[in-house]
Formats: sequence, C-alpha cells, structure tokens
Amino acid sequence: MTLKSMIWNELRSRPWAALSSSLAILLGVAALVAIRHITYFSEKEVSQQLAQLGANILVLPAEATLQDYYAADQNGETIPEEHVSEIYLAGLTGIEQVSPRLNMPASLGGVPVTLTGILPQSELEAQTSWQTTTVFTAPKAHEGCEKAKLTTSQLEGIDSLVTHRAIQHLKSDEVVLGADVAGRTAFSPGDTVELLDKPFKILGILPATGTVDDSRVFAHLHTVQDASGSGPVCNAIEVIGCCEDAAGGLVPELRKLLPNTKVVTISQVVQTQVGVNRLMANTSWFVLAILVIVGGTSLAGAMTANVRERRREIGTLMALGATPQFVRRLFLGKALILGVVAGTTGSLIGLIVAIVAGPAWAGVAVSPLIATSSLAALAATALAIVSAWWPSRKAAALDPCLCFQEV
Amino acid sequence: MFRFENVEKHYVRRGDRVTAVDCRDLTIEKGDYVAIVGPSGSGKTTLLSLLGGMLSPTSGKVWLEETSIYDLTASQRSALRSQRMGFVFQTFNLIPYLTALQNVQIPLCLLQLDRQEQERRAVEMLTRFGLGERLDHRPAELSVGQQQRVALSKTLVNDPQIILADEPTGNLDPESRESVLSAFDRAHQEGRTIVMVTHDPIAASRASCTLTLRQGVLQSCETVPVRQRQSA
Amino acid sequence: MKLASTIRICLVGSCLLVGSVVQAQQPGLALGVQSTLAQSAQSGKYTFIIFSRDNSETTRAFYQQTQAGLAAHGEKATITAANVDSPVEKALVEKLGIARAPMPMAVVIAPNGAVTGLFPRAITPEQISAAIVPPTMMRCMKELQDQKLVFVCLTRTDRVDVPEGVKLVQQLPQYQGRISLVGMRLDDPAEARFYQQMKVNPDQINGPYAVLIAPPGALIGHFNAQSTGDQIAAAIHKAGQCCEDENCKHNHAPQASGTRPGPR
Repeated sequence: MTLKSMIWNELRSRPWAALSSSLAILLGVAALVAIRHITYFSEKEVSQQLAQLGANILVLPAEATLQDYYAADQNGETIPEEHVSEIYLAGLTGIEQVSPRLNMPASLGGVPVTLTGILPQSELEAQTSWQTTTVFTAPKAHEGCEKAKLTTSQLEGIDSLVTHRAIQHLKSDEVVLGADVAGRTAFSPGDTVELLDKPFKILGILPATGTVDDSRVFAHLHTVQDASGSGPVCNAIEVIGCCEDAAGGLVPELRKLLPNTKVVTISQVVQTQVGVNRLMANTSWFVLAILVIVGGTSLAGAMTANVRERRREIGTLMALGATPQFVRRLFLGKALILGVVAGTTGSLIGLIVAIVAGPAWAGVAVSPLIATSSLAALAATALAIVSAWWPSRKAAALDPCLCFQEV
Repeated sequence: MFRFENVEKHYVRRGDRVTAVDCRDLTIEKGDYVAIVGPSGSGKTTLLSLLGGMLSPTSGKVWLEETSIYDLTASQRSALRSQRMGFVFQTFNLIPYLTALQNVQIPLCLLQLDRQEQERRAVEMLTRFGLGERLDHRPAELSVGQQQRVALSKTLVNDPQIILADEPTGNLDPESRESVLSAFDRAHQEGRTIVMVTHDPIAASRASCTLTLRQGVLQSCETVPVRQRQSA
Repeated sequence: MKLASTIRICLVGSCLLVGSVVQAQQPGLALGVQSTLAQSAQSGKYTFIIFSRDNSETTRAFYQQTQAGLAAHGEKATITAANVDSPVEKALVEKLGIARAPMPMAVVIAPNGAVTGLFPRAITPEQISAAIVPPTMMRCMKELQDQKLVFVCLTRTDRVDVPEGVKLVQQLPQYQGRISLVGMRLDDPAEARFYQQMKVNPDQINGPYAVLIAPPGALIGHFNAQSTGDQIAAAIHKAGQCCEDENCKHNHAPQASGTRPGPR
C-alpha cells in the first residue's frame, strides 16, 4: 500500500464520479486545442498567401465576385485585353509584371479541363520597354520604386507559372498541364495531344500546388481567344508589384485608370479569413477563461464534496498516524491524476476534431502541434491542482477526532 | 505510562462553557488494562482523544512516559500514534474502497515500510484472525464479525504498545464480542497497555481497572484483581 | 446663313483632306511607314505615327490634334498614319507591341529608333514636347530599350573621361555586351532637362563622372573617379534585388500603402 495506490484505488472505486468532476476541464481543453490548431493553420495559410501573393493585384470585371484568389479568373465575365497596354502606358511605378488570363472549358483525352489562356512575357517585352518611354518623357518627375529590371531568368522554365504566375515563352501550339490533369490523363512532356480539334505539344507539367491551377491546361492567350471566339478579351489581369508597398500604391492608381473594373489585392481576398482567424483567436481566449472558471470551479466543488464525504476516513487515517501533509498529498495527488487524464484526453479529442473539422470548416489541413497540445494538457493539470489546493488544505486541517464520530 | 497533569478540556457552545473533561490527576501505568465507563456525554471519548494525542487540552499536560504529548507538533503526534498506538473503533472505520489486505496495510504504509514487508505482516495478521481467504474482499463483502477481525488486524499489525478502543463491542453479537475481548486479553498478557471506553459491563469487567466518569470528572477508579476478572 | 454654309463646306473639305492623307497611308501604299522612318532617321526628325484600326471620326480627330501640336516644332518632327491590322505594318506593330493596345494611338519614334512617346486616344501639346527629347536622352532611351545598362559620362569638353571603376565593370564577364557608354556635354543647354532628371549639379562635377541608369529607367547612382569597380557592381546588384532593403520602397511616403512590408 502506498499513497499512490490509495489514490488510484479511490478513483477506480468511483470512475464516473472522477470523470464527471473533471469533465468540464476535459471539454474545455478539447475546445481550446481544436480552436488553436485550426486558427494556427488558417493563419499560416493566410500568411503564406500574403507572402506569395502580397504584391499581386487582380484587375477583374466589375461584376466579378471573389472567394479564392487562385480561381479569381474563373468569373465568367470579361474585360478588354487592351487594359494590359493601358496599364503599361500609364507609366505607373512599381509594376513588375502584367499577366492577362482567359478561361474556357475544354476536353483533353476525354477529361474535362479548364483551358486557361496566358500571355508569355516574351510577347510583353515591348510593353515592358514602354516603361522606359514613360519614365523619361512623362511631364512630371519620376517618383517611386527604383528597382531595375536586370534579368528575366526567373521566368525560364514552366515552373515559373507556379512560382511567378507567368511564363517567359509559350508558342501558340504549346500547352502546359496542371498536376491533376497530367495525373488523370497520363500525358507526359513532349507528347502531342488533340485539343480544340488541333494538335498541341505538351511543353511540361506543373508541380502540384493544391490550388485550382492543378486542374488547368495553360495555352497561349490568343489561341484561347480564337478558339472561344471571344475576341481580344480576358477574364482577369494579374499585376505584380515589385513589393507589397508598391502594390498598395498601385491599387488606387489602377482603379483610377480602369474605372470599369474591379481592382483587388490578396489582402482583400483574405480579409474575411483574417477576420475569422481573429475571431477564433479571441474565442480561444474566451474558451480558456471559461475553462479556468467553470472547469476550475467544478473540480474544486467536486473535491470539496469528496473531502466532506471522506471526513471519517481522513480522521481514521490521522488516528492511525497520517500527517496533515499525507492527507494533503492524498487529495492533490488525486487532482493531479484527474488533471493529467482530463488534459491529455481533452488534447487528443481536440486534435482529432481539428484534423477532421479543419479541412471541412476552414479549408486548411491540420497536423498535430505537439507544443500546443502539451501546453494545454499541462495547463489542465495545473488548473486541477490549483482547484484542489483549498479542499486539500481543509482536509489536512480536519480534526482527527472525526474518527470517533458515529455515522 | 500515561499521566494527566491538571488536565481540563472545555468547549464553548452558544456562549456557555461546557466542561468535557476535568481530570486533575490520572495515571495509567504501563501494562494496565483500563476500562472507562460512564453515562452518555460524560466525556469518555474526549478522554480517549486526549490520551491518543488527537485533542489538545484547554489546560494542563498529558504525559506519555517522559513526553508531553501536546508539546509536540501535529506531525510528531501523528508519528507517535503510528509507532506506538493502535485504535479500535466502534464502527470499525474500514476504508470501503480498499480490500481487507489493503486496509490492514495502512498502518504499515504510514510507518513507511516497504511493500513486501507490508504484505507479509498484513497477511500474517489476517491469517491469524482466520481471514486468510478473505484478503481481497472489500468491507462490503465481509460479515460484521469479519469486518471486526479485519479492524483488529489493522489495530495490531504495527505492534502497538498502547491500544485505545472506543466501544469495541458496541455493535457485536456475543460471539464476536468475546472474540474481541479475548484478543484484548491476549494483548494485555503480552504487556500492552489497553484503554477501552465502553458501556458494556461485561467488557468492563475484563479490565484490570475501571474509571468512572460523570460530567467529565473522574468519580472512581476500581482495580479488579486478576483472578476476579471474568473470561470466556 | 451664307457664312454658316461656307464654314460647313470648309469643315467637310478639311475632313476629306485629312481622310485622304490618312487614306494615303493605308495598305495600298506599301512600306509607307518604314520609308518615312528611314527618311526621318537620315534627316534627324522625330516621327509621329498615328496607328488606328479604322478611319473613324475619332481617328481623324486624333490625327488633326497631333498635327496641330506638331506645328510648334517645325522641322524637328513629321507625322504619318498606319493601320495597326495591316499586314504591311505587322513587323513594326509586333516590334512596338501595340497589336492589342487601345486605338487610335500615337507612337513617337526618335531618329535613332528609340520609342520616345506612346499616347493612346488623346495627345496634348505638352506630351508632344516631352516626346521630342534631348539628344543624350534619346541615345540613353535607345540603349535602355535594348536592355543595356547605360553609363552617362558627363563632360565639359569634347573628350569623354570614363571613370576607372566604370572601365573595370565593363570588363566583368557578367556585364560583357550589356553596358553602353554615352557621353553628355554639361554645357549644352539642350541637355539641361536630362541632367536635371538625373539629379546632376554640373557645378559640382570635376573630373571623370558617370551616372548609371538601368532598364527600364532606374537611376542607380552617380560615380566619380574614386568609385571602384566593386562598388559599382554592388550598386547594380542591389538595384535588381527584391524589396527587403529600404531602397525598394517608394520615395514618397503618401504612395506607400498601409499594408505591412514583407518579402514578395
């Protein structure tokens, strides 16, 4: 017989009482862990999008609605392609790249795909050189970003479609496949495929991005315009600034230049998500407060009741030679076990909920954050011990003569 | 062994002072078998508590040999009880969620003996009381007589020099009562000091000395010669 | 009444005249623009080409507007018209990259082939004046449009002193064939506009001095005789970096947005 075995035997004799006394802590920890996990990964996703796309601006048709940045061009509306030239001609500073896109449904190898027309940057070099013209000959003095354009080497290779949202070279009879499309159709780079009743050569296959781009087939913009019969239009124009600050300054300029369009940045796209993340972060503090108050109070009440119903037992133990410290450890030990079990179980439940609910509710994949889960379990344990502190002191201060009282 | 020096114990209830015990001068020698009798509310249990180091007197000192009990700290008094005293309770006071074996191990656990020694001594004691096949039974699974024997095992397992008993035969049938009193006789023969609070005249007659308490005051102390003590 | 009719007749007549001028540049007269450009290059004139898709009222009005603005520049410039969809002009249109640009559009080409002006839909006299650039600016724009790094070497004499550091950078392998040197006289009043734009104070220049401009027109720095090749190469490298360093932010605070700075 040891103190530990006494505690364990007492807990085992009434398991449901033990569970109910720590249920509030368990549920509070589960909620806290779930919310923190989802919030963390959602914030990370937003942060990644901002980091990758922070300097990106989208020029969209005025009627377009926007939920997902990567699918922004799939809005069904069009704007004139000449807006691309207007942007370059306006002499706006801080523009690094302009990329129009046009979509149409198509079929590749019997698989329905989204055929996305893009303009290779090699065909925009003349427009890029217009910047020299506007820089030198605009009546007002040049202001702003002084980034030099020294190389286009970062756009060599088809992966630049993923990394830089543009490609340097793409012929009118060439296509680039998204990862999902390649997987479903089993085509390889170099293959010749039939698309829009014409032969196209597969220039390459993009790496998986986890976005709608994986289900696209990229072709030359003018090829898609001719095939769709839409004329010189596009669904969206992506403008990339040289940095986030430049992008921020470009937005009002572009709105003034193209009043019949909608100009948005990734910040606006993720604004809702940022708001939700903030709400969830605040909610997690609220849950923590509830956990401390309700969970702590619940356990303190349960422990106090436990001390009351074990008065005779405590008196007997003292009569047999148990010190006040022994009695205190008896109850604190019980609280420790309850805290560890409730904290660990709550963390596990919260983690499972986050892994299941993350993709469904927040559209993010969640993986375990060991530090967060451990911290939650530790906090629950600490809370349990703190809650049991006063009842254990009361127990230790009981009169040993209770052992002589009749039931 | 025990000596009271001007011991008084008072309570204050609703502004009234109630004298629980007023024993100026009481001595219990080593090896005595003392029965404390008196009407209900006369202070018998209070006197037992004072002897057991569980209730400090309002005034005076309680000596256990050369030690003034109430000049020790609470922890020291606990250690004293653990090492030298055994208690027998009217309602046995077994811990309901522990088995018979575990209940008997508690005093040994408080003495900080290792697990194997605890088990050995507890098994030996329970077997001696005929409970060798009931080691893993909880109190609710034992008869009253069996519970009483478990309680006696628990009392004697740490080899106490002093046994303090509060109405040990109060809830028992004659056979069980005799079994308890026989155990006390054996303990007394082994040289232990026994102080027993009782209403039972038969139990009281087994003691070598009877103290009568009325309203907390020691009225008389009768010593009975050994050959006159009743036995089974 | 009679006056009103007369005016009406004159207006109609001038429209027909303009229309015929524009018509004269239509596909029927092949090599019209190219030959005009060749002549302008020989005679040192700026060519204002009015590109359009049709012969609409808007096109005609634009042509007139440009022509009127050129009147103040006498022999320095000439005007011509072209159809942007014409197969004859396809090569020029592709080179200029204006196939999908808003029309009508005026493109100004300097005698050395540099594009010094692009004006869609409307043109003002100020824009016309701005498009007729100083000689050194014209040379710089040509080199920059050819994606060269341009060192404008400043001098008060006919002799151009190139700073030693610049010579060293020219020999670096990564800059082989990518650097152009352009000399500019500080005492030429025609260049005042250019060296003001380059933030040069002529009075403070003694000895070899160069201003480095990188495509599309970023002013990289000023270098004198003490500047080393390493310093100049470092300045070029820094100018092409993304925006972690403060140089990449806007010069003027009001243009900076409220968004937090960060890597691209």
